[in-house]
Amino acid sequence: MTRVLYVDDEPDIREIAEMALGLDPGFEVRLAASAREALTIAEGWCPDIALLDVMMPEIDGPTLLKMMRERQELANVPVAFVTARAQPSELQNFAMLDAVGVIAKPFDPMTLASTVRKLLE
Amino acid sequence: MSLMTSQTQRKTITIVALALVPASLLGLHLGVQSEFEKGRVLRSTVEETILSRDRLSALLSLHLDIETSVRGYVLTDDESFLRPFLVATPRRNELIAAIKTDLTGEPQARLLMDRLEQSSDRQFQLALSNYSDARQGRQSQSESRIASGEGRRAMDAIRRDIAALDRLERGRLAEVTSRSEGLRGNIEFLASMLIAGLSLLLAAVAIVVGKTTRQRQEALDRAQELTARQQAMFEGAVDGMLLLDEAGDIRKLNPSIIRMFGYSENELLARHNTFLMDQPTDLELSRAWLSRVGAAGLEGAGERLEFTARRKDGTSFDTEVAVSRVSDGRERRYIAAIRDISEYKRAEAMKNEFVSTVSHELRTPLTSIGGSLGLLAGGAVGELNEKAARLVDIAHKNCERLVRLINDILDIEKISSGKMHFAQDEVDLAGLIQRTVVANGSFAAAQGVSLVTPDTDRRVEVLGDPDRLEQVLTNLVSNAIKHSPRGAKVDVVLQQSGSSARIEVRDRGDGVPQEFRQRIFGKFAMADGSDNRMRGGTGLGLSIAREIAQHHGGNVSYDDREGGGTVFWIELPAISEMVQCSSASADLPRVLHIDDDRDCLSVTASAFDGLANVLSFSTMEDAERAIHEHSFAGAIIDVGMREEDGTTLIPEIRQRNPGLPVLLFSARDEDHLAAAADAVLIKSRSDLSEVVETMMRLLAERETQA
Repeated sequence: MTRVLYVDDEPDIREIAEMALGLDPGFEVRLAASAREALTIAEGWCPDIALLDVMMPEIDGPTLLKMMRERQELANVPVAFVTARAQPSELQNFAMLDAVGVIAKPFDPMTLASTVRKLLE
Repeated sequence: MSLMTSQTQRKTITIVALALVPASLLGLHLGVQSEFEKGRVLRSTVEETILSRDRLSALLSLHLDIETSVRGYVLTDDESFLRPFLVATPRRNELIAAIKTDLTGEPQARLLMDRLEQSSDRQFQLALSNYSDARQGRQSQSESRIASGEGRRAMDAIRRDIAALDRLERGRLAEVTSRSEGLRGNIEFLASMLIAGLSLLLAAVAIVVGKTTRQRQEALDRAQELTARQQAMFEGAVDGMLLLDEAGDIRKLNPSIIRMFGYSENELLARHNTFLMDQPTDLELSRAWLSRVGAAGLEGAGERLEFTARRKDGTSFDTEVAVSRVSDGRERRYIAAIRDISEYKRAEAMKNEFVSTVSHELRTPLTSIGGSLGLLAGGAVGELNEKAARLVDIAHKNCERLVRLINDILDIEKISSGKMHFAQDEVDLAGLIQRTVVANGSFAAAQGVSLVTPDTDRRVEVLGDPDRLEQVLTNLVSNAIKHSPRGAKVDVVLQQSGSSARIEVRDRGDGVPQEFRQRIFGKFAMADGSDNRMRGGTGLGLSIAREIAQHHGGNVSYDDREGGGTVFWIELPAISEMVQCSSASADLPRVLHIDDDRDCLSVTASAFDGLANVLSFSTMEDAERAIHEHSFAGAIIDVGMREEDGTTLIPEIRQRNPGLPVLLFSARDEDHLAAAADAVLIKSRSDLSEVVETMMRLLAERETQA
């Protein structure tokens, strides 16, 4: 099973993402509502990919990525951002933060799982 | 025009009048002088007349003396009586001679004078005879002669003649006097004319002086008013105003500057303007700028630049500064208007924040709505009944439309604020078309429209942002699909003419309505809101498409299609597929050059100018095609191509062009290269002339071998 961690402060979007990712039977999905929760889950679970919302209260997605990179066990986890801000300058910044991809919101729930599969390749 | 003519005429008249006045005064002066000359002549005439009348009366009294003297002597025989007679004798001749001279030239007077002389002589002879008789004692003879009255008659004749002459002289005197009267009249007239002329001149001078003074006063008033206005503008301007001298030192400032910067006037006067700027680097910029504005003269007026300014308290703020040159006289001055744009910057930042927030805040709920509907419509939670599926479909489509609308509005905002970022990649248009056709395939199928793109192995590249260009083409293709009837075909065709690449999207729709043509590229432009097929559009697509194309140096527009329908097209400047030497000549050997550095291709082609026709290629694909199409005399090959190794071309080009010399022009120095080619030059060590020399030598060797 491929472990997918989805981090978003919006409960509705978390739920939809869970269902959308669940369309791929090979995915095991876990959800986190904040960066702190994400770190707690990831440390024990070690996901194959983490999908991070960019704009979150307290700790945002890019900061979470940095924090993951600072932890040995999470340093190599591939990360993709899910963002409602599709400013090209921001996209460039994400690329520099060695994210494997950027998924724009609103995403197509029927193709989200296959998009994540592609990023894993 | 007529105003100018009348002004010129008035000027001429004034000049002529001013010239006439002294001329007439001179004339008057000459006239008066001549009249005075005439008067002098008259005066001397009068003097002569009076003198001659005096002489006449003297002659008369002389004769009376002679008569009395002789008669006294005859009667008394007293010799003392004879004294007057003796004195008169010589005096008479003198007087007669003088009177004769006086009267020369006047016939009547001469006649009278002759008669007078005779009378005088006779009277003198009588007196002389009486004197002689009396002296010789012949008293009786003398007495009888006296008694005969002959002496008295002679005396009467003298009196008569003298009286006649005197009348004549009196007449002359009267005539002269009357002439002198006339002369006085003339002089009086001339004098009054002179006075009148002088008065006229004075009046003219007074008028001219008055007018000039008035005009000067008016000009002065105007200048003062202008200065006052400028002063008021300078003092009252909301913008900070500085008057700078040529060196950029502050010579004057307005209250806004004091308010803006917190310095007093004295703290700023004579300081260099960069004193108000925040960064030391701004100093150089300011100097350069000022001198440029100065050099540009009035053309550089009002040039604007943004500076970060510093207040007295050390805080900084954003300003926009416009500098104009104000005098082109001896001293060069500048007016710098400083505007505090920190509010504007804040507002701009707020707008950006707002746009960003809106895009985020709207997209977040839309993600939930769209996601839910997408899952429902996609059957992720099981089959829906027909009506429910239809409703979910409608909701889903409109949700997508809302997302597109938000994206389009953000795009428009980004384009209009110049913030849209455009990548500068080499974009293969055939690939772009393929991607767009695939992406729109399902939409076309849903509309019953077939998307057709002819197969082409033609490679046309443009420089630009692949995502944005795909956005443009997608817009045109989806519009074409929307406006095509079911069963129709939409063609997407790639063309290239010269340096211009063109993609045409041809549909068989109803065409662009006449009344819509004016505003088709405007914002929120839709042909007909009630048009079912237009549902899902935002009315911003074509406006964005055109803006994007124009940012790429191209354009988007349309033409009516023959036989019905419309052809929408994008034109973009193509990267020339082949850089060919401009002086291509059939007589020169053809050399293939492949290198992924376009600059290198271009300079190498120029270096062979007149020696060989160099066909340059930046991709292996293009070079391969050329090898199939042309024969070559030689080849220059770059080894370290981005993705492939140029040496892989060698077998094929040699097969098609037996004995062809190959020159490897490589950035790397590797032993194995020498075996593959006729010559190897290393980019860092050899210059272009060496490349040309080597290739020309190889070509010559081959020629002799053949």
